Amino acid sequence: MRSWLTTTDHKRIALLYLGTMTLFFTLGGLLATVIRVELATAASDLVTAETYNRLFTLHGVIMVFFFLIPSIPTFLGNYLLPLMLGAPDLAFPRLNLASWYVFVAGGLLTLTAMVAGGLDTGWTFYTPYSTTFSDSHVVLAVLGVFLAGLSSVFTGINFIVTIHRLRAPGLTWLRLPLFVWSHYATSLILVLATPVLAMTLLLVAIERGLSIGIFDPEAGGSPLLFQHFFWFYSHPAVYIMILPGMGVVSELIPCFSRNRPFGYEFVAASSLAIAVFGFLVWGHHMFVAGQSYFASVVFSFLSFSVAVPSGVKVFSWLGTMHRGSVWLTTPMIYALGFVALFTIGGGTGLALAMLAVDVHLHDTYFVVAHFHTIMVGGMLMAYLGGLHFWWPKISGRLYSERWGRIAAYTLFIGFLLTFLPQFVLGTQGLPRRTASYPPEYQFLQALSSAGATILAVGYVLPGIYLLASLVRGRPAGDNPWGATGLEWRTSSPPPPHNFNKAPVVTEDPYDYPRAPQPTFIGAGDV
Amino acid sequence: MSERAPRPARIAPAMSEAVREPFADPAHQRDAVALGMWAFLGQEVLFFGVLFVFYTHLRVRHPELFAAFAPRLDWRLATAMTVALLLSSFTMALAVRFAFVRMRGKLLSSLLATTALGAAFLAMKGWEYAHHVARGESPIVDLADELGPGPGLSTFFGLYFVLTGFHALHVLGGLVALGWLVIVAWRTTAEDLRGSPVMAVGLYWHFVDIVWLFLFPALYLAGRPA
Repeated sequence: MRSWLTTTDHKRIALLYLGTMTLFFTLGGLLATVIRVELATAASDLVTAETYNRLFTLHGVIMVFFFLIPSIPTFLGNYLLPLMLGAPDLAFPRLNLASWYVFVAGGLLTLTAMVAGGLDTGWTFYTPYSTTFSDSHVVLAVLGVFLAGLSSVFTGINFIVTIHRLRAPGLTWLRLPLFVWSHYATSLILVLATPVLAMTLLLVAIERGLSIGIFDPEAGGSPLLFQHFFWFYSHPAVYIMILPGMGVVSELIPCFSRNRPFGYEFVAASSLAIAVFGFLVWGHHMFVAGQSYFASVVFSFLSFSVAVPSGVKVFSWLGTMHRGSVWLTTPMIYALGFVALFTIGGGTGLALAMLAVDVHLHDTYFVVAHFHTIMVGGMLMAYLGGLHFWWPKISGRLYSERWGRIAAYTLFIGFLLTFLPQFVLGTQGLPRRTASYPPEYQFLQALSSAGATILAVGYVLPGIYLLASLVRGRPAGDNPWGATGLEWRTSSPPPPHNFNKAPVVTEDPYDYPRAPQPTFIGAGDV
Repeated sequence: MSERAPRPARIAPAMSEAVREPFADPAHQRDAVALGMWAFLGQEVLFFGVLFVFYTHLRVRHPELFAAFAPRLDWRLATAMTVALLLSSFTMALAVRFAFVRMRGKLLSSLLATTALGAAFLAMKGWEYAHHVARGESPIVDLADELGPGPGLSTFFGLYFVLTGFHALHVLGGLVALGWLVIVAWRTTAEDLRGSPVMAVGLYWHFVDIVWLFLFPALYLAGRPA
């Protein structure tokens, strides 16, 4: 126990993060469950409207700041970056451990706010409600999120320095795995966007105590200023959440298509392009907030241009599978689910980026369905795909492939059933964030709640068979999938310093025609 | 970006005292520490950037606040604070140099000089804060009621305390880091001195000075006739 809490080994810290985030995900999921049960009927009969406000606020805060943002970088990124680079650890191992402690402290503060009575501002903390009117625990919660942000900054700095300075001999920039490229782009956003949220939340806390006129119009401040600051971070934060997922999928699809990634250089550059464009589109959250019409037109145009690098990635995945030899294992099912749902989520995002359409759809269930399709459909699929792909490397064991496939399909069906009805609800004009609604929406809401039940089963299943594999699973071997990449050249799980002999890279990445044969043979190989 | 041949990663435990775990040699470690500190300063720019946007917003929307209240700030005292910080940056630059050439005595004296100048800055700042609070010029004592609703004295002094307060906290953090460097240099022999931590703290210290160089004219010299 003590050796875990004082470890500076990036692999152990990654597992500490995995454990912590799984707890937060479970908590956020339980809150979502109560929300869906309440929404199964039109009246607000299970909880009061006030309680409902607290439920969706905490669901949002916990899922966004304590699961989605840290999920892939701090778990898979932490575990895999040094392995993929052929390095013994991250550049600053103690900073890495510190980031976990800061993260846990932030989580505890937020949980304290929750236990003490909760928070009802929505995860967006909009002023002047959060600074002046809300009588819930805003200060505790924003300090918790501030600490989570500090932890993100530590992780981002560590990744940037590691990728620049700790690559194995011969591992040039254009030989880096696409997972590393996407984490590089993510780290840039983590370091350059997070401080804006951090300062903004501190200002909210100060304004609540002192009323100094930053966001309070009575004293010369501006609530819109808060929205600008908040979305300057929180839109790039969307790319913090999705870019690492894209990196995972760019590893899974070449491996299970036994093919080189189509347009490697373009995919690498598109990660950076998404990071840069992501900083220039925040105003599309404020089309109906009263910003100037000219600003809205520019933000709308820039939002459309993010679709270009995103499209580059989707076409690369399709091009890799085309003429590849597709092997439908559990991780690959998740990767395909990601491609499908990311495309739906991205396309509906373009609908919301249109000025006129957004006026109708703003603050409706359409927005809820859109970002859940990217975050839950896209990001979580990628997270689980990555977890299943690297589980044999991390644990040294093979899980039940049969149950893995059942869970992946269950999740996909459950997801569609939960969120497709919400797109329809949104176009019919149902506003989000209300506990009760007119009875004509009852059928679609009940359908969505039914889908959420299936989704929940899909989340519980991997928890069971992955844990079971630790006891009953067969040894995985060094490279069960026959994948390229330095992480597969060491033992499963890797030794404390990752490699017994320092790796030297002499070939291009993803050389699948010459990759080793998989030792894993399929569903019978349980 | 110029392409540099990546250095080999170290596998065996560090042989020399001066190099920590994942690095191959001292120069490699120095590079990494410098890059890490620059990345950190990048996020600091954005952190303070929010405050400067807040400042610009208020200055453009309510220039009358600056005309009315900025003259109450003592620019002579602020000039003395500026001189203290600029001198401390000079002694800090000397400290970095002395650390790399391993001149322990001179390193210690320049670190102590930097610490003293930084502490002098904070002392002046504290005196100034006490002076303003005593005169009711603070966001805590809200005088807006006397002047009627709308932005007023407490708005301007709210801005002043928030901007200079976050800067002063950064100076305080720098003093803690300097104290740590002094203790380390005190306990280490000249041969075992490591330059990287001194360089990293030096970069941070210069950054905090530069922030003040923007705050000084923005607050103390604003609203004065040309």
